[in-house]
Amino acid sequence: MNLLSKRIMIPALVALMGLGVVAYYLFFQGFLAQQRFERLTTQTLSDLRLANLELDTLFVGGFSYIDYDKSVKDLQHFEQTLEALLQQYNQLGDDGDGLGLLGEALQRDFTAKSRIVERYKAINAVQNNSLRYLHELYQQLPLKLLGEGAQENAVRLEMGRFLAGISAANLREIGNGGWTKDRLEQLRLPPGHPAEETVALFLLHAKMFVDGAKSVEALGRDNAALGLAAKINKAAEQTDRYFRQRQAVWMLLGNLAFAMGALFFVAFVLVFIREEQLKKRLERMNRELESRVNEETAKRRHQEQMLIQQSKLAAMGEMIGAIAHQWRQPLNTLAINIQDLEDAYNYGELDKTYIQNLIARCMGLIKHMSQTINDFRNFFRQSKEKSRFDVYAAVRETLELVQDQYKNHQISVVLSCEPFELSAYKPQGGGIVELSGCEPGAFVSEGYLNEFKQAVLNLLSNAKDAILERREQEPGRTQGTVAVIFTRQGGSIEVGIEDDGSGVPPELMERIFEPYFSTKEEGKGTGIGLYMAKTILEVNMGGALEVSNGAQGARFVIRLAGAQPSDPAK
Amino acid sequence: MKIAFILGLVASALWAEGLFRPIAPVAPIDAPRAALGQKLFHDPRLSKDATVSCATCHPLDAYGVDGLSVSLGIGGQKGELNAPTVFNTAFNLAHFWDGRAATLEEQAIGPIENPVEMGNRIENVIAWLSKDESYRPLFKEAYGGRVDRESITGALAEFQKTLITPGSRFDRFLGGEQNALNAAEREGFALFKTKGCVSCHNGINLGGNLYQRAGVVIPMAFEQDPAAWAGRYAVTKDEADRYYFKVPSLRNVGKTAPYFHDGSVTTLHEAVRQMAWHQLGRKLEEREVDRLVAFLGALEGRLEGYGIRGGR
Repeated sequence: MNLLSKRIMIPALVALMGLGVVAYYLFFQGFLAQQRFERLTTQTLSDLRLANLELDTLFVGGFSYIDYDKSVKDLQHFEQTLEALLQQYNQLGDDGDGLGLLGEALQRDFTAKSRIVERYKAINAVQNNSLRYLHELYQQLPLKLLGEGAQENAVRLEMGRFLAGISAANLREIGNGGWTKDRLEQLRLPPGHPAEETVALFLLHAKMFVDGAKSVEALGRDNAALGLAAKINKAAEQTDRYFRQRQAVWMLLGNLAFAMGALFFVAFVLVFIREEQLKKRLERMNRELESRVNEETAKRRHQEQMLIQQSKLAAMGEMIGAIAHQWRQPLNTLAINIQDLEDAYNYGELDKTYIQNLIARCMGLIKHMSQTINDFRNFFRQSKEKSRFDVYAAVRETLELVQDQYKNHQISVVLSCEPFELSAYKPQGGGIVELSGCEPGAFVSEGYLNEFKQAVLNLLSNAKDAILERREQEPGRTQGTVAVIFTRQGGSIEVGIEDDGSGVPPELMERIFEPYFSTKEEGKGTGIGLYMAKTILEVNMGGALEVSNGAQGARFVIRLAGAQPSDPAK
Repeated sequence: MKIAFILGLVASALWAEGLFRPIAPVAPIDAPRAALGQKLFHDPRLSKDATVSCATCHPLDAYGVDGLSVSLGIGGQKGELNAPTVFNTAFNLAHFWDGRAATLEEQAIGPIENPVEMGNRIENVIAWLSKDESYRPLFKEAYGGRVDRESITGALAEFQKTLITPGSRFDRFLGGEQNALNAAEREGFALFKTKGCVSCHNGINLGGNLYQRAGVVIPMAFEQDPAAWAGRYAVTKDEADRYYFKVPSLRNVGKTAPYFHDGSVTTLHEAVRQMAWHQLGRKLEEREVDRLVAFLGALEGRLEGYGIRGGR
């Protein structure tokens, strides 16, 4: 399965892009939710800061009535806001753990602050009352002490000084303003004095006031020491940092998701482009290859044509021998007949009958020799066009060209149209033997007649050479047989040429059809013959040529497509 | 300069009128929950032996108090402190004398589980409440059928929020009705401010919005008792908070005797006198006490709440 095939790639990449889009959408939702939550928390912290400021105003106002109802509401408001903040921190889960602890610390600090506030309120109430009463008591004095003794006046002066020392500005310093316990104790009148009780009350409240002032100052310091404002700011900073980090992560994730989507898209486009490029290159290469192949094929064919010509020439060379052979005997006979003329004249036998007989005999021989030339000339003429021919007749005619050679070498050729067992046959001194069973016109095919005959001739020539080769190896053999068996297999014609020669070595079986491959000695064969035969039969005539080893020697089978007999070609 | 300062103080004392507000209903109120709370409030089965309900010590037709210096719990056990009124509690900063309950819900569980009061455990209450058919529709509507600590105390708290006493003469005076207070009451109001009572008893509840030391100027008698209640100290564990109590509301004070956290003072005159001495360090003349008591009487309001006369 080609993973880069469009059918897989496109859906896969579309799916991945879809995933990228979905991921980006989810990220975006998550990011927005995070932002909303962040805004909420920031708002809560801001509220908390304001609530804390409200509470701190209690400590700023020097000396006035505090709206206690408002202070209660302010404390409740702070508590609720802090509660809300802690809830929000809790929602952050493990990530916000530092913030959760921060929130708890704020809660503890708030508890401390609320205690400070309550105590402050209590002291503030007493301060208010004491101050008012101190003034009242002082107002009461002159009515009682005018014109009295030095001590009374001194006490009155001290009381005045005390009250003068109290102002909004140095309220906090009243405790350190030199009003020590000893000095305060001066504010006494002897028992029994009419104003004794007044002054005693004054002293009581003055002492309370001084203590109260100290306490108020201390509480202010305690509140400042709590530094809740700074802590809230710190919490705000830390929260902000936390969200920044998360946001950075979100941004990163979102960008990653988007980048992935974009990357896949780009990859898809690139792969697509690349594929197109490769396809084009492939097409171009194919075209080039095709033209090269055509070139080579044309060359090959040309070469084949040349080979055919060469093989023809080579065959021709062999044929010269055959012609010479066929002509030797008639030429001898002619020579004897002519030489006999002189003897016939000397013996007085030279009459008309004798001369007529002589002419008939010689003309017959000459005719035979002329026929030989015709046969060979026809044989080597190229068949320009395909024609229907009788395969049996073609083989028969080819045989006639070599029958003398075969007879000379004691090789018999058996033609059979029925299954024939070569090993069971007893040769009878060479020559062509036609067995029965062959119907004329039973084996008709279409093709180049002369080329076919050349192929057959080549096969027969090879068979002869194989037999002779065996005779060299087995001197006891004097006879040889070549069987040509014609059969019909369905719509095709099979011509089997079997010999009892030396056969084909199995390891060379595949190579014998190669051009320039020969098993014969150097100079004894061109190696083109079988290649040509195969080419003619398979390429030109669309048939087949196969070789195998029979029981005795080699067995070549020609297969041709059968055709309907029209007129038997010649 | 001094005179101006003093005048300023006096003026601000008089101007402190801005520190008083008339009673207004608490809103919003969840009606189904208030209805459930009302039924629970009157149900003695909240207590262990089913003899004591909230209404036992805080009867609603008696201004939310039982008139005892300390109330009696189950088995006739004496309580620890004087039972404060249940009216107008929504305006208090915290609940119980030491402010240990920040919310009404937290307060509601207290008496239920206090051994000398109802002597029960919330689990027992949940158990029988869950099986009680008469409560089922109420719980269904108020809390979706949920019977637990949260729903029980929540219902009681919601009911208590409805308990207010608006329409007092003082509130009408604050609303602009000059004739709502008579001369004596008006004089009492002025004394209330100039003497300094207003320093602690201010706000919508005339109290209930801060903690103050009982006997801040002159120590009170109860300090003699070593077993005396320590007040706020019990919550903060800070010595400085010893004997600090939540300042009680003065609304309807004429009807909620006896007074102080130990219920040791039975008359309002005596309470005013003691407060002035112990908290302000002042000795009041009788005439002044009378005027103040008259003013305090003008703080009586109309009894309102869910299911009671005048309520929704």
